[in-house]
Amino acid sequence: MLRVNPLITGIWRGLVAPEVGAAQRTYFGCLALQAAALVLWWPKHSLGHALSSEQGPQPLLAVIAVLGLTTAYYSLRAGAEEILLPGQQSLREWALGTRLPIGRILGGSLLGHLMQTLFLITLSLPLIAIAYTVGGGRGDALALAMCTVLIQALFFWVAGAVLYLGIGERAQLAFIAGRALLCAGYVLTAWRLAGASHLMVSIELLGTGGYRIDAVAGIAGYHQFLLLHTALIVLLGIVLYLQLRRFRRRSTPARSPGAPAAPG
Amino acid sequence: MTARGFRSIISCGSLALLCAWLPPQPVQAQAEPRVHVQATLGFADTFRLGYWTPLSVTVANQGPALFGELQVRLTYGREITDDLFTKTHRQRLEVSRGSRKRFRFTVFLESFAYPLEIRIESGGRMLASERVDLRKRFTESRLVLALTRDANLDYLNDSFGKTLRVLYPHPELLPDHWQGYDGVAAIIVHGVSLEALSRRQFTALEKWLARGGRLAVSGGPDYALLRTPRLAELLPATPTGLTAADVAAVGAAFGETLPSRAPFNLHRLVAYRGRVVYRAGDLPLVVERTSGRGFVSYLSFDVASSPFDRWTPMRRVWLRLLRLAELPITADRREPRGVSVVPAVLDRPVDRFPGHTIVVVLLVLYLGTLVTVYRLQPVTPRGRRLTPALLLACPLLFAPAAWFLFSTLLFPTGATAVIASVIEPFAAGPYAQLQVDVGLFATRRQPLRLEVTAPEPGFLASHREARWGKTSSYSVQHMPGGVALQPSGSRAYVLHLLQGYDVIAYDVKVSAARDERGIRMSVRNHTGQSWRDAWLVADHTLFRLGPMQHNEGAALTRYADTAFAVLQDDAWRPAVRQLTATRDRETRLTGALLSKVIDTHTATLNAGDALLAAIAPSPVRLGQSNADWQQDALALVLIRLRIRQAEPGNAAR
Repeated sequence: MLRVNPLITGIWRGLVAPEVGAAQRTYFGCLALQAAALVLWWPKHSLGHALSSEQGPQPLLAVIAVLGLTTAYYSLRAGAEEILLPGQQSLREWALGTRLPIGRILGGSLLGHLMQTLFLITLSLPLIAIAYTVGGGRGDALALAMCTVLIQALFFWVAGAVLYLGIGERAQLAFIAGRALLCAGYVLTAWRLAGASHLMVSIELLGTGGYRIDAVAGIAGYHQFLLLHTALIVLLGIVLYLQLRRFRRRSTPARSPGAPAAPG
Repeated sequence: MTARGFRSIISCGSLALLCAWLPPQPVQAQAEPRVHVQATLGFADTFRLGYWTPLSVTVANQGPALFGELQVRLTYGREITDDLFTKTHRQRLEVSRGSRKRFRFTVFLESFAYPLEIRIESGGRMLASERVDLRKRFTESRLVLALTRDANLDYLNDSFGKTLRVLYPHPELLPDHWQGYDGVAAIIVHGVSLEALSRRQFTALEKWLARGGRLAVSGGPDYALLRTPRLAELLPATPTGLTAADVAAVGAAFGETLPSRAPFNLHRLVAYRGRVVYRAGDLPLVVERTSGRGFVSYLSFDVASSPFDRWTPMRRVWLRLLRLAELPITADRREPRGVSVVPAVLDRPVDRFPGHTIVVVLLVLYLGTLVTVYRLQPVTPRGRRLTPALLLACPLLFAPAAWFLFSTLLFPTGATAVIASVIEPFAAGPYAQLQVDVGLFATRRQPLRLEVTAPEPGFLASHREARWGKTSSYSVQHMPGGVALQPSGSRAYVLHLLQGYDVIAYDVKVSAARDERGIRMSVRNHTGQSWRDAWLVADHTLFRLGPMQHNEGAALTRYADTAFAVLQDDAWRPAVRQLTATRDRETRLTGALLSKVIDTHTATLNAGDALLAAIAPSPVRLGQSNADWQQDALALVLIRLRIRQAEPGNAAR
């Protein structure tokens, strides 16, 4: 798939391109925020103090929470095509300019973004390693937390893409709607729907305070998060598919049989 | 991928999601084992609040062979202050088809507000449970156990049965751990031998005696019973036959008049190993021998026969013999939970996390390297090909390096056990009292199961200061050669504090004499363990004696002539604090133990008394399954002794 899907190869080339563009600047911004969280939440007291208060240091939780937030923000912007990697084509260009099936375009874009998120997580690995040593978390909980970061990133990418294809012509509205979605996704869920909140799920998985999200129908908090976001990704993916198909159908009569090949 | 294929993927995904929400299939019903549980608590189903008590659980299995776990759950704390916690005693359970088995526990019962719960679990299923209502079984009276076939000692009960209560337990149900006798004030043996007791039961009795138990053995017509090996080992004299007593002389010995002039017999005794307390002419009536902190009394007359069975002053004689003063109920209360020394060991600013500086330096190094790789902007094709590899190499090399630096060198992660023991050898006999403070915590979320080898202390959650959090529920499992402790929950940075008590064999003899050079210590250490360091507290001064080698019972002489600190007001604290301020946790443990000893013992030290404190290897060690834990374990041997004046000729040479 990596060799055959042109979207994935395009994203890979963009990822490792030596040019410093908006995407790279955003990576560094994300990393700087995570580093700041690590330093701010690094324990300031002694081990005895942590034991007496039964509140261990939380740098791991802070780094993962900021990683989740920054990848969500990056994914939303990437989905809304505010950020494109060097040489990367937009979804609309792929749908209108090539004969690739919509499903393949969508699958390639999703996998490509998954790759981007993994690349972002890879850049954060040293910070996570440092935070993990004192953070009191377990390896399996950290792996689950990574899964939540990935799935949330995919959700915001699809949501950004749907917004862009839906109201992208009104740039200001799309810009505000995207940020509003991110804020709502973080604030409202943390306040009212813990099972859908990345912040609360991270606290459950990595916090040292023993916080537990109430199980719904016997399903633990992080499973609620993964199931809900997977369902939303599937639903929004269907919407995105329909949007792309509509674009292509509108433009098909105007397109000649000898349409240009896929870019990249 | 075609639109149709994509639709198929969507459909399958939706179906999978739907399936994930469906409830799991019910487990197929298995054949229900038929198990019955019967519990006997305390002695004759009576226990004393605030003391350890034996519990015997009989499991009868009428179903298929049963393999599982027997659990006894006790609830402690107060609901009103939201500090309830449970302690679960666990034992492996194997009962074959159609058989019954008895399991013994020693439980600490503090309140009758919550029932004691017995459960049998197998493969995660509860097969049987039984709740024992404690309200009907408790007493606040001191208990006297009468091991007898036919003697009636009910006259020992006071008029309302409130301060003293005589019980007649079946010897088979006697405890197999010394702590089972915790609520027992005295034991009277009459007309039975102790040969029916198991080895563990007899050792438990010996240890209870060493820790301060009072045993009285009454003579009877069958004096051969008192020549059986176990009683012969305990008794302070050996009976060789019967002899007629002088009735008037016996009454005079007790300071009372006997109700009848009818003749009766006394045991004729030889081979005294104690002192005669009462004597009628040449015939000893009561011989007493100390055993550790306790004593054994041998009454050469039959307390259940005439004239003593109808003699009113006999109750007074018993109380005097057993040193059971007429105490009001409240005066005998006690707080078994001491304050743990572990928080003092851990509450030091030197135990720090890696500093901010090293974190910032590493971050700057990493981010700087990453920026440099991006900024290189290679112009040659080869350089362009190398850029992706360099980009990925940066985090993939920095991450393990950071991991190694922090988790191995700067802040080793995982579980830690701090075990601080205090050993107090008894003056007479080879036993010592062991008190062990255990502190468990992990810097990573993980279950904390601690297996310790050596003795079998009975563990309780330590009394803790409010700022050190609440007590978590925990379980205790006695295993061959050790105990497994497991606090519930797996949170990181939670300190679990437990305290154990036991009586162990610890053979050491110490004496002190004052001569012109100072205090001369003579130590016969036959424990098999060398002491790493020793201190002597005497004359308001803390002397450092230095290490003392195990010398197989040979006398080792040391002079207490190097003052470590003067124990006036709090002047000694800075010197001891020097020990606690070190980074080495073992030295800090030494300092903390020493501070505790000085704080608690020197106030009661009379002029001419001294206190020897020595640091020894811990008798409680981590088991094999905890090999990867960090361990700080030390024991402080504590001996209180009288300094005698050395004879001029025996001064130091």
